[in-house]
Amino acid sequence: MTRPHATAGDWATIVHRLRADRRTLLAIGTLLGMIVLVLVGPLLAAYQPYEQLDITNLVHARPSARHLLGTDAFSRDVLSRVLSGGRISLVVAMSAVFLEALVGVAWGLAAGLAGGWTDTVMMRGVDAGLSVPRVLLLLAILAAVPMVPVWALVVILGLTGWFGIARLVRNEIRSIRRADFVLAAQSLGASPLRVALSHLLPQVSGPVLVAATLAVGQVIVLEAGLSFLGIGVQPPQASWGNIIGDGTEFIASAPWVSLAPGCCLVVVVIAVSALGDGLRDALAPRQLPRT
Amino acid sequence: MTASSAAPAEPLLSLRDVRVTFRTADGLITPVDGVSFDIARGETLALVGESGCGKSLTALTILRLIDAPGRIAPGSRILFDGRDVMTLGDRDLRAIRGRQAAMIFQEPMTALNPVYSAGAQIAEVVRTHTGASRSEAWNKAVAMLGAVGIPSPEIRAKQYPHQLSGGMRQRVMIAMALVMNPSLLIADEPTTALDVTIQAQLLDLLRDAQQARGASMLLITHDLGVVAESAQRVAVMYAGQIVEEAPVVALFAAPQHPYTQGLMAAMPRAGTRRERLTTIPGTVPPPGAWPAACRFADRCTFAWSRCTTEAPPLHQLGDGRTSRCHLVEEPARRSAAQGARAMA
Repeated sequence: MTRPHATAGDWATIVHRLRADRRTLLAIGTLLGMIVLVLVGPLLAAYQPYEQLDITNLVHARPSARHLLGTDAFSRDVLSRVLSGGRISLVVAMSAVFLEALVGVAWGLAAGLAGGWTDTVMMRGVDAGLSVPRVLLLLAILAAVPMVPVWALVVILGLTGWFGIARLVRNEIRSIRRADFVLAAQSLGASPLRVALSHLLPQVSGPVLVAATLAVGQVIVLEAGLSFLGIGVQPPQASWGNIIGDGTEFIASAPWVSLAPGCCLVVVVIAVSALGDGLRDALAPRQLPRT
Repeated sequence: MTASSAAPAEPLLSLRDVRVTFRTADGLITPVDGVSFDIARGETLALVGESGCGKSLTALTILRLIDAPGRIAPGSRILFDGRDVMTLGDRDLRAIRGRQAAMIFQEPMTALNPVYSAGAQIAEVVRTHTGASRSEAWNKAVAMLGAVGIPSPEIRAKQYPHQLSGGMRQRVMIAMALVMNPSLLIADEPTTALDVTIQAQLLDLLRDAQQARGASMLLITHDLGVVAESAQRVAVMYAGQIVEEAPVVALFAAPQHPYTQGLMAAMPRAGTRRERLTTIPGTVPPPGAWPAACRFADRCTFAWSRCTTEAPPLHQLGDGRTSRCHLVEEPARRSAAQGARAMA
C-alpha cells in the first residue's frame, strides 16, 4: 500500500497518522494536561503565589497534606508558585515563538520571493544572526536592560530566535517558487500577492509548524536559564527558572523547592520535542513510513 | 471549421520573430529563436517537436510567463486579440491570463496545488476574474467539473489532487482552463502523462469543448497521432526555430522538411509490420551548441556542403506551407532525396 503524500491541507491524513503514533499522543496528552494545570490550577490553589504565609514558623516546610510541595525560604507555598510560574513560563515561550515564527516567515518569504541581491543581503543578515550565540546575545541585552518586564522579555526572546525559521522558509520558497502549480496559478491570472499567500505559504506551513514546536522547547529552557540567573522573569513574579534559582541556596536542606519546577520543566521540554518529532513524521512526505 | 487559408480576418494570436533568451554561466543562450506563427479564430494549431526544441517556452511567451533568468527578447511581437501583449501592464496581463487565454499543463499532479481541493482551485479562478461570491464560485466549479465529465462532481470537488486519478486530475486542469470561457486554449502536452485509453477521451473532451465555445487552441505535442486527430495546421519546431508549417492534411501527405519526414518515419503505424521503429539519429543539441548554418544538418541524411555553410531561410511554398530547408531550391537533389527515402 502506498501512502498518499500528506500536505498541510490534508488534515485527515495527518490526524490519522498522529493518532497511530502513541509517542506523539502521549506528548500531546502531557502538554494539554500541563496547560490545563497551569491555567486552572492557580484559580483553585489554596494560597496566593506571593503570599508569605508565616515567615517565622513555615520556612522550608516539608511537603505535607497542607502544602503538597512544601514551602520556600519566604514561607510561600511551592505548589502555588510552580503553577503560577508555569503559566508565565509557557505563555512567555509560546508568545516568543509565535513572534519568532511571524518574523521568520515574513523575512524568509520576502527573501525567497525577491531573489537576487535582496535575497543575498537578507540572508547574510540571517547568517549574522545565527553566528552570534543566542544565549550570549540575550545575556548582553538583558544585562543592559535591568528589570525587564515580561512583555519585553517575550519581544527580546522572539527577536533573537527567528533566524532559523527565516532560513527554513526562504529555502523552502526557493525550491517551490517555480513549481508547476505556481506557474499554473500565474497562468490563470493569480496576482503575485495571491501566489505568495495562498499558494506558497501553505506549502511551508508544515515545516514551520515543526520548527516552531521544537523552538517552544528551546525557549522554555532559555527563559528558565535567564530567570535562574535573575535577568529573566523578575521576582516576585514566579517562573520555573527563578523558582529553581530561589531553591538552589537551600538545595541540601529543602530540595523540593528546586525539584518541583525542575521536574515540570523536564517533562514539558521532553513532551514538546516528542511532539515536534511526531509532527515531522506525520507531515513529511519524503520520508519512508515507519513500520 | 473553415479552412485557415480562406480566412482573411485578423488572427486571434500572432507571434512575430519571438525570441527567448536565458542568461547562463556560459553566456546568453536563445532557446526560442525567431518563432512566428498565427492562429485564426476557432483554429487549432499543433506545435510539434522533440523535447528541448523550445515548444513549451514558446507557449509560455504568449502569456508572458517567462521568469528570470529567462526573458522575452526585445523586438519579439505578440499580438493577442488585437492587443500587444509585450506592452501590457501587469494588471491587464493578469486579466487576460485565465480569462481570455488559459493554459493546460502536461503533468496535472504537479500543476494542481496539493493543498487545495479540486473545487477550490477552480473556484479560485472564478473569483480572481469575477466578483462572484464564494458559494457562486463553488457552484460554478462543481458545474464545470460535471461539464468535463467527472461523475458525482459535488463529491469530487471536495477531494484533493492526490485523491483523484491521473485522468481526473487532468480533467480538473481542463475545467480550470475552461471555466472563464477563454478564446484561446494553450495545451502543453495535455495527454502525455496519461494512459493511452484516457488520452483519446481527453483529446475528444478538449476538442468538443473548444468547438462548442468557438475557441482557438495551441496544441503542443510530440505525438503526430494527436496532431492528425485534433489540429487543422501544424508547425514543426527544431532547435528553437520553426522548420516547417503546413495544413495538417498536406503535411501528412507530403512532409517537406527532412526533420518532419524523419518524425513521420519514426511514427509507429497500425497495420504495417516493421521489425524496428525508425529513429532520427542523435538528439536535439542543447541551445548554445546549435550548428551555425542549418541546425538540423548534423542529423540530416540529405545534408551536403551548403547545409553547413549557409543557414536556410524559411521558404514560402504557397498554400500556407513553409519549409526551412535548402532542398526547396534544389529540385534535383530533392527528388533524389525523396527517391532515396522511398527506397528505404
